[in-house]
Amino acid sequence: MSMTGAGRQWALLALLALFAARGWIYASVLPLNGMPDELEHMAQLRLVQYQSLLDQGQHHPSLGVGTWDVAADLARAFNRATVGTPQPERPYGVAAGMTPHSRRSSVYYTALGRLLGWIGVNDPLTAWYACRLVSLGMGLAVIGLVFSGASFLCPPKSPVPLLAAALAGLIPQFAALAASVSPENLAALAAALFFWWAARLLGRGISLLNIVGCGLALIAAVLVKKTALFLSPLIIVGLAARLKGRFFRGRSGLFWGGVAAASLLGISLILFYPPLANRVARIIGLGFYRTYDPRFDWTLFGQPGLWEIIHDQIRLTDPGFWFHLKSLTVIFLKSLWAYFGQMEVTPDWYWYLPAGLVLLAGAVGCLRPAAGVGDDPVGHRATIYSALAVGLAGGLIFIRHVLLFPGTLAQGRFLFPALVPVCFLWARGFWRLWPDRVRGPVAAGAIGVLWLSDQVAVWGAAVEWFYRISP
Amino acid sequence: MTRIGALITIVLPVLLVGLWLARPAGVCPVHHEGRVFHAGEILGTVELGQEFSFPRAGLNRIDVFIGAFGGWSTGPIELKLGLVDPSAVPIGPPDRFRPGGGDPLILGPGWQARQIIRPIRDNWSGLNLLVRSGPARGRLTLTLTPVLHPEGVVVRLESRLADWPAYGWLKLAWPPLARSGGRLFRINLKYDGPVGGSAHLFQQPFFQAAGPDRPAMFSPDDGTLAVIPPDERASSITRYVRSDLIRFFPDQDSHRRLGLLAARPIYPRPPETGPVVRRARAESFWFTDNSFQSFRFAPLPDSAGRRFYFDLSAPRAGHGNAVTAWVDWAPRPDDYVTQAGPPPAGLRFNGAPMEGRLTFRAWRQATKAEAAGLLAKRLGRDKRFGLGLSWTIGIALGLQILALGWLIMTLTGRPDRPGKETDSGD
Repeated sequence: MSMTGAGRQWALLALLALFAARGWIYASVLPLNGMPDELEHMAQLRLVQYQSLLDQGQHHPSLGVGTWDVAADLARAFNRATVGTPQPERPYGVAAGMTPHSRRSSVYYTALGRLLGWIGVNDPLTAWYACRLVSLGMGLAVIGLVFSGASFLCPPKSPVPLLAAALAGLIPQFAALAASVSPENLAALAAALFFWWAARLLGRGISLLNIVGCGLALIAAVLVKKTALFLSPLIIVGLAARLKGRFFRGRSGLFWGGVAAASLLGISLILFYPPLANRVARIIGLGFYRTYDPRFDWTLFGQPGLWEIIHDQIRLTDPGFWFHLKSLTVIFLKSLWAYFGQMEVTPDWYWYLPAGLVLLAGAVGCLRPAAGVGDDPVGHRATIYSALAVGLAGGLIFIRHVLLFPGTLAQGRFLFPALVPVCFLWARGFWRLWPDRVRGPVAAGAIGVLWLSDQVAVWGAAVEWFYRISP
Repeated sequence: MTRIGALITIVLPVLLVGLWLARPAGVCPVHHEGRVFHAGEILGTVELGQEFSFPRAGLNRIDVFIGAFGGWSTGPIELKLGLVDPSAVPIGPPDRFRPGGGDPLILGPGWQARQIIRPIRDNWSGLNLLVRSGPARGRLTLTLTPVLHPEGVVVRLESRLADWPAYGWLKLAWPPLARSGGRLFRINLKYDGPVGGSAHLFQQPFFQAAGPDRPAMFSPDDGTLAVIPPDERASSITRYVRSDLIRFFPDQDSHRRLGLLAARPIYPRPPETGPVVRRARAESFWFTDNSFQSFRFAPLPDSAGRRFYFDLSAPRAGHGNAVTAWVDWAPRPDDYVTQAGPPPAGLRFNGAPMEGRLTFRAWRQATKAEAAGLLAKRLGRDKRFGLGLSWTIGIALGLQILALGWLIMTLTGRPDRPGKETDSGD
């Protein structure tokens, strides 16, 4: 089937309306701190909002002048508003993550905090819900970027962009996160913008505008969230692929031998020579270790080197290592789809199966041999780059949580900055899997299954957990 | 729009409404979501339960927070619900919470494990020891000696490793010790066996309660586990100080790591707390790890204001196939910093009270209208910008149906006629 331009636009509007409606429901159903670390993020935002007052030593009518006063004001409102909903352990009545740290900064906190200060939103709950709605707007923008980015990579009337945006718009975890206060929302938007430019460059060819746009988007993404550094190898690979014809053609074996030797030397130095390992890790590892707790930044690098870390954490003969890997993988996949609260609110396992089958179908479709690659070279190249992006993103997550932070969980939301390539890959694979005459109905059925799974997640899992009511 | 598209558009909301109608409505007036650690595997003769008061009529469901150790379990889990007889005489204070399963404690030939234990009750008549059998043979000798009133060895018995379960609680029983409540006893376990043989016991998992805010828990009554190599005199005791869970909080004081035997005292089983009024069964195959699992039964019309108990058991479960339940447990107020509110209570182990409380919820039957009305009230509380209001949620739901219908119509649009430009999306 094919879609007219107007048909696609209306369908996109319908999809955005669907996501906005779902986001509204999530923002209504999820209590405060109903998604990971939301309270912590809000406390940081409020600190930014009042920082200028604190710096000037001014006395706010309802607050004092200290960091603790900002937190206490939020705590009072939070405690009052969350009476009757389950909350994480509160020793001595103080919720975990309540006290903000002035050293902890993020573009998200700064932007929203200053916006709140400029508008003058003093009521903590009004500020909280306002931030939720702004974050929902970021989620809407990501859906639009998924659609538009995929449009560059597909023929003009292809339904694949709509399908890709539909997946992004129907993932329960993404909607729930977008409906909560979290810097992940801005990170997902910034990374989606980068992928949009990358798709534009791939689809429309190399031009100064596309290259500059891509570069600026990457810088913006890294400024927002340093783990976006994982995107940088994509630039290198892309450039190498484009330039291979001009620069690398006709080079001798000696040249390639030199390249291999230099690469091997670089890798060996990083693994075995601690001073260099520490420096390199501090540069590329800033995305791994940037946290307000200095213990994670520097203590680890006091150890002899990355090789020792690998030796300590990768224990192939230890059943505990494989059990840990299995647990991480299960939690990652669950939390990619629906795992609310502080990682405790989950639909029953069998409710993941329908969505899992739909997603698996897309993955299987990606593995089908490309028939007539020459007919769609852009789509073919885009599939390879998307797979590389997803692999880099997933690899970073597991390296971080298996190797470097073994006591922490690999959460699916960490993959949301790569939502554009994930959704494009799935949509293209899913569409190619079925015969032409059933593609439309099967895709429609898949959308329906995903939507149903989302409803079960909201009304079956989230409402029952948070409100102790089975409606 | 094609017929298939119309069919899908209609079927989806109908399916959703059908799912909603098929689930009975309920409200949960009794809920305890705190959890500190699991209570060990529910298998064999283990019965784990909870006492609670229920304020309303219509009790029809109990959810227990179940763990499956990251694996898959099969077999039924049975729940029996009974009324607490208000005239029943309490059998005594609750025993100390002793979770099951933890680090292994392996004794080689001639090795001994020694620990102080203070039974909470009189007529202490044995010990359940968590063990695992293997190919090794030999015997484990238990001796029991009062500490402050040195009468010498009061209990001495042997257990052959050949008689041990593959994994589970080994019952070591002796004649009841009449005045055992509150007295300190030293348990000594010695393994004698062939060279290369070993006896596999277990320590209790030693854990920090809910984060570094709360202090390390150790018992002043049950003393530190000591492991004594062969040929060493009892006066030179090697302290066995290992606990994997301490690694999770690397900033804690490592000198406070302690060990305790995974052992549960046996007392005469108290009389049944009250008549059983309902039974329920759930297949553990359908359980989701680390979440609430439901046990449903016919509503009790006269449950208002009454005190109940329930017990979970899994007689057919075995090692690797068993589930556990999570427990909320607080340190005793006189030992540690006071926590907010009374410490969790009501836990039952084999019918006898134990410190702590199961993580559970108790539900009552409600009509759809009542449940929806209560939900609407709770959703709308303390929100802003119209969030949580019934009418905005209703509009959002309606918008979803319309938008979804439009998407499905678009995707199932009529295929282009031959000769027209087509695109397969490849």
